[in-house]
Amino acid sequence: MAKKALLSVENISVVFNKNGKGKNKQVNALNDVSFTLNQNEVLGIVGESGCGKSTLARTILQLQPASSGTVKWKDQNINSFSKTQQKELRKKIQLIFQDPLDALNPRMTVAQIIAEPLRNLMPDLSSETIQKKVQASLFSMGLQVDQQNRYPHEFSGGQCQRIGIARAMMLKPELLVCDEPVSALDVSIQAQIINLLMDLKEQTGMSMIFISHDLSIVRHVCDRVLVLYKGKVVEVAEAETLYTNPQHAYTKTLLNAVPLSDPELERMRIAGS
Amino acid sequence: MSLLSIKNLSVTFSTDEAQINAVRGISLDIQAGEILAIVGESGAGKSQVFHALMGLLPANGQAQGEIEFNGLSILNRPPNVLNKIRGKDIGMIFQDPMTALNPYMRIGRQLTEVLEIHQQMIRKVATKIAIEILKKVHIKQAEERFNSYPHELSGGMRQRVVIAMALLCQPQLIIADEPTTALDVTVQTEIIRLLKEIHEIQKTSIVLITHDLPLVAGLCDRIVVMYAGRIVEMGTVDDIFYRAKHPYTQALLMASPRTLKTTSTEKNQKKGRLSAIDGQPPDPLDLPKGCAFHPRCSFVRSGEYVNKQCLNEIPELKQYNSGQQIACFKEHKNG
Repeated sequence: MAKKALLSVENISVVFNKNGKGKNKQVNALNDVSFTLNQNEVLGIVGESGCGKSTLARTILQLQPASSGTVKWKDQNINSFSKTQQKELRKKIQLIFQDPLDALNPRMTVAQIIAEPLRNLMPDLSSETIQKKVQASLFSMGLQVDQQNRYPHEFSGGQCQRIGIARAMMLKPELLVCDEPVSALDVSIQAQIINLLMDLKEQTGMSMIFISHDLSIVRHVCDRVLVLYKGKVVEVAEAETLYTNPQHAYTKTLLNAVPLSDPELERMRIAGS
Repeated sequence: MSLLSIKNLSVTFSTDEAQINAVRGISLDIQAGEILAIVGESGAGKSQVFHALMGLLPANGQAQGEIEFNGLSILNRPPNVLNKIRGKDIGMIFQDPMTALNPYMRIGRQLTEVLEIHQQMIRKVATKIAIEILKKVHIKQAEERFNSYPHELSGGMRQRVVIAMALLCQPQLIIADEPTTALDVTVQTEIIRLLKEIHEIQKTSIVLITHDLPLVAGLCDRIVVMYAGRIVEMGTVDDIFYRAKHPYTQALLMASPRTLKTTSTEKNQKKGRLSAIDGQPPDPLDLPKGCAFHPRCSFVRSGEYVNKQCLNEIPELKQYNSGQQIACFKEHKNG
């Protein structure tokens, strides 16, 4: 069976401060980036801060207009979408953020936060249906239903991230973009959230874009990995291939930077140049 | 005599709601020239131990117990006593290098200030030494960077400046609180290498506070694992990584995606699954009775090892022949 492309990004460039006025110079945040994401695939995007990972995510979500290039959703150019079509598309692509508490409105209760996408994008639903959906969603995220009237600050980081995921999953998206979803969390909680995301992916068959600077997590989660360096794609490969046989020098540097969980090997890694 | 000796330290915070016991009785010795890692999740109390030591607790925080540095009692001493030690004999490196530096001052001035205050140097001499230190922490074009403001530097560079600042008076002890957490992976390794280099040249003792176990594997001599304000396991790096006994340490090692798992069970595992620690970190307002880890302990949860003691009594830290110290009833019984 041929793999079906869900999203294809073709020659995207994003330039900030294009005119280069004043002290600030022109910044090429993304430079001719192309890739395709297949259905039911998890694509990892790795690179250091400032390499354009998040700009790429924002461009896919149409939060950041591209200077040139096209983004295609199921072979349709989304730049040419009408307002209605764009609104439809918003149901299909959802995002979870790095800082779990920052991503939630502090003045809304958990139930309100999770129900918001439904109220905005599916206004036909009755309050009872929404209420039921919210409770079901809380339950499947491993949260307690009686916590639904609490505010975000009453939850721990891991729980806030679960609420963020619940909100993103409310509309049953076909693509979930995760921008550093676990880097603000403790190690023991990271594993819980990763497992939750993987379960959801298995249940719903959605695709994922997983942005991270931590290569060890990307290896666990992703099918394919794209390495970004200074706004350019330097390597795309199957996850295992990338880790066992990296081609680009920068990928090797990144892999070498991951601390090893074995004192003897780690001492050698640090001692090595 | 050990360089730093902490005896039965407790830190409590009084809030409107209740009293929070952040640190619940910790004893710890740090030898001269040793690198020690304190590992634990957020809320484990690992930072509070050293905030208490440095006299940096907020107004509602109280510390009890005893801390001796070079034989001098330093816990709860007034600022004029502590100021002679802080920044001079004990240097501190904080997590976020942006907030550790004054954004309105050029980094050069921030460095020379330390020398002028602690060593009564004149500005000219201090400048020379400060530039030397910047070179030592591998800042390129140190003379030019000397006149930069913090925002003109990258995160990794800023952290180097903070490390340089901690090194200025050649302290006997450096406390590094999550020094790499805010940095990129590639820069993390550079900072760890830098700390190792400093230790080799100056024989400074280093305490590294972190939540990332693999990060300290290649750097430290000893590791202390904290959970809910208590030490649950303590041993050499090899003890902790190869022979971890406490269920929390074991779970922590397994949960790290960096752990190389090459056993056959790994292949049968579903792709992408990590071995998570179930449950939430304990709520300091409502700590579980008995061993604070028991609600998340895999042995208790699976029913493999159930002991009334786990649920009702707090396990003491007990030293074993190997020198490893463990606070777990299951281990106490077997050992």
